[in-house]
Amino acid sequence: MPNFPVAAQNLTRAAFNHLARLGRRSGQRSRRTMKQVRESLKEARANVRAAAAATRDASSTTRSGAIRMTRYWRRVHGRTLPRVAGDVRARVELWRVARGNGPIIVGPWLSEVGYEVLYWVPFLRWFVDYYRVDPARVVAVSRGGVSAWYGDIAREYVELLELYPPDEFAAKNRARLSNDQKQLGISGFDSEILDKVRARFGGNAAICHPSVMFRLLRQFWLGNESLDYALSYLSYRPVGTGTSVPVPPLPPDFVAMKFYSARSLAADARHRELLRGLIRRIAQRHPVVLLSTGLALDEHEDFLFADLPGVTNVAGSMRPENNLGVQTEIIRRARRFVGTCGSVAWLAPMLGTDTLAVYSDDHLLTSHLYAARHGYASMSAGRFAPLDLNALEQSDVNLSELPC
Amino acid sequence: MSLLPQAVRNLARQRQRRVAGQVKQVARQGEHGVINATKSILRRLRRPVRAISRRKALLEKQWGYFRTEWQIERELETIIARGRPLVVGPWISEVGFEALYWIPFLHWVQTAFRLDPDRLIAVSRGGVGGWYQGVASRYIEIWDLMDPVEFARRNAERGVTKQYERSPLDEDIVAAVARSLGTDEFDVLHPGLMYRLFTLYWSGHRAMGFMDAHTRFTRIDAPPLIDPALLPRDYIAVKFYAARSLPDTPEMRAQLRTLVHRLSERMPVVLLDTGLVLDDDHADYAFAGSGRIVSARPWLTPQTNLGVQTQIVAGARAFVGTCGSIAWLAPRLGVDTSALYVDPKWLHAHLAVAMRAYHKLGAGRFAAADLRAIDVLTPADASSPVRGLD
Repeated sequence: MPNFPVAAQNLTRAAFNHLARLGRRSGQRSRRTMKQVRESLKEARANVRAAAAATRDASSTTRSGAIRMTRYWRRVHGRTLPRVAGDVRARVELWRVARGNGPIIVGPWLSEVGYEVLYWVPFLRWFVDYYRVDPARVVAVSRGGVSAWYGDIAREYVELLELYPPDEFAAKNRARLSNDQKQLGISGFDSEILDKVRARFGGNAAICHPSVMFRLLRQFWLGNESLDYALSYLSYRPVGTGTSVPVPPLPPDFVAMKFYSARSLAADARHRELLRGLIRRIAQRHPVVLLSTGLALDEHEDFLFADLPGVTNVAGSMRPENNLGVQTEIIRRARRFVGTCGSVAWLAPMLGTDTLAVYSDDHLLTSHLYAARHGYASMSAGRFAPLDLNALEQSDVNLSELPC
Repeated sequence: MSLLPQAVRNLARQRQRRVAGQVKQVARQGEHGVINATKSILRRLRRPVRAISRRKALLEKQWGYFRTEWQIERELETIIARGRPLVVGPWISEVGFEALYWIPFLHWVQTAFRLDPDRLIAVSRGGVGGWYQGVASRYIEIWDLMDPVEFARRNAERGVTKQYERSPLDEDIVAAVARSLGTDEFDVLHPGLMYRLFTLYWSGHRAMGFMDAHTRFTRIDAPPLIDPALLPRDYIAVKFYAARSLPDTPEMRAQLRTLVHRLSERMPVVLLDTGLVLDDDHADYAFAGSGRIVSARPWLTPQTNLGVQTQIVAGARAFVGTCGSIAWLAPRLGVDTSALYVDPKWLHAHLAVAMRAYHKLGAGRFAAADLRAIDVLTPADASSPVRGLD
């Protein structure tokens, strides 16, 4: 007799088990699906976050790249291109001047002595070397009998103070200065001089005007061009001996001295006193020759200390048309040169004379000192020792009190 | 009669030789002409070719400098863009470069990238936290992390004074900084970046304006590290040390001694002789003190020596010393400075930066003097490099 209740119970259990298994499976499936959904959502959220971050990074990179490119472009457009364009213009101009076989007028030099010595003459030396210009073609035009400075550059020299009486020259130059001390362009006075020189050497003479040099090196003086750039246009060499310069009788083993008022050495009582002490001190050791000209050809005023014992003033042996030439030859013969940092102080080391260049305000001297130090190092120059008077004062080195 | 044909033959041979000679001469002349013409053409061609190749080399060089500059700026941007704290340093080279270039460079970085000083952590040595005021709000002293003698030994082992690259010593200091901060979640702005950038100027390839564009000179105040009552009321701070610009010779020592004694006759002098040779190869000149010459040595410890020197300089009427090291810092403290040297060979570029920057800053006056200038005051037969101060 089949046991129906047990069978039914078993069947029920089996069905229940089956259903339970199905329930478990579906539960597992749904949990798995839910998990997958959750993970998918998580992944989607992560992807969205990553995409947002990537977009942010990309935009930030693009932005910084754009800023960088703008900056570079501004730099290239604002500085490099004008500089390259200026360089190319100047070089083309110089190339045009150098080509052919006709005479070349270099000058007229009407600006400061310091710029002439430290930049113009080395620039012309570079010009004749670089473009292989025969010095026989070159006519230098300057003032003060400085033909020796152009000895290896120009075979001919025109003295401006032989073309004009000193007073007229000074007056015309002063009128020119109302525009700018530097010769950034060809002024009316320049043109007038050039006409006179052309009349002597031929109307087709090419002109190498100082404005080319001023345009090329101005940015260096302002601190916007590198030393490398400036030196690439300058060639420093010792200055040769001048001819037919009447040098006055000089004491043996003397110190040449030239102090004048300038922006770098103001003409105040304190400086006069300090310099007086310095000269008195030196004069106790060596005869001192003062290179005071007594001429008023520029805005600088000479400091006169001729009343001190052991000090000789050679002003009487200089004429306007040879004053710088005479000073050059005196400095060449001196054991040392001492003077205001500027003018012939830049020249003295090129003559092989040890130089003490004194200043009290270096504001406008920084780039010149920088160039001069490198220039002198590149040639067999005399020792160049710049001295800030403030350093002596602060160090309490009282020059006049130093024992003999 | 038999001589006649012989004579004719001789004449003919002579004629033949002469003609052959003439032909040879013409040929030789022609050959020379061709060679000379070729040479002339080549010479004419060579000049522009040389000029072009020279110009090309120059442009390539310039391009290389631009690339270096841009690469360094990009590196800087990348480091800063990460937004993490920035460790600036560790500074382990000369004091002068830190004062004249590194800190003004950091001021520029901070201004250019608008960095919060709280993000920057300066790492240097000698208690110079005050130098970094306005740049970094935190300062970590290297000699708190590492024994000064050990530091000096390992720094000497580097074999170079400049920090163009990260050396093992730099790495060890950065690791110690990480331990000190309790995290390595920071970026390092290493001095090598500045050295590589400013080399473009030091080598003459960039203008002084380039330095203006990448530095900011600011006035700084010196935090008190020693009791100010220890110092005279009015005094001159003096620091002379042997360097290439002021070499150590018996004559030099004698002259500097005289200078210091002369200064002390007018005003008390505080000598910044540390007696330590830890951070670079410069040994201080020591001068025996009279009552008016006070040595700062008793107040100095390795960990604070530069900080204390800064405080002393800041309180001085003027600073007189070797052109280098603290002399580059003194004008930023508002103190008139006399920087003396006898050999300016390595100073040209630095002098130009200092003269220009301190003019603009308008704090203390920076006056440099070549002591060789003074020897004009001395007898012709004397041979010492610096004379005339006595």
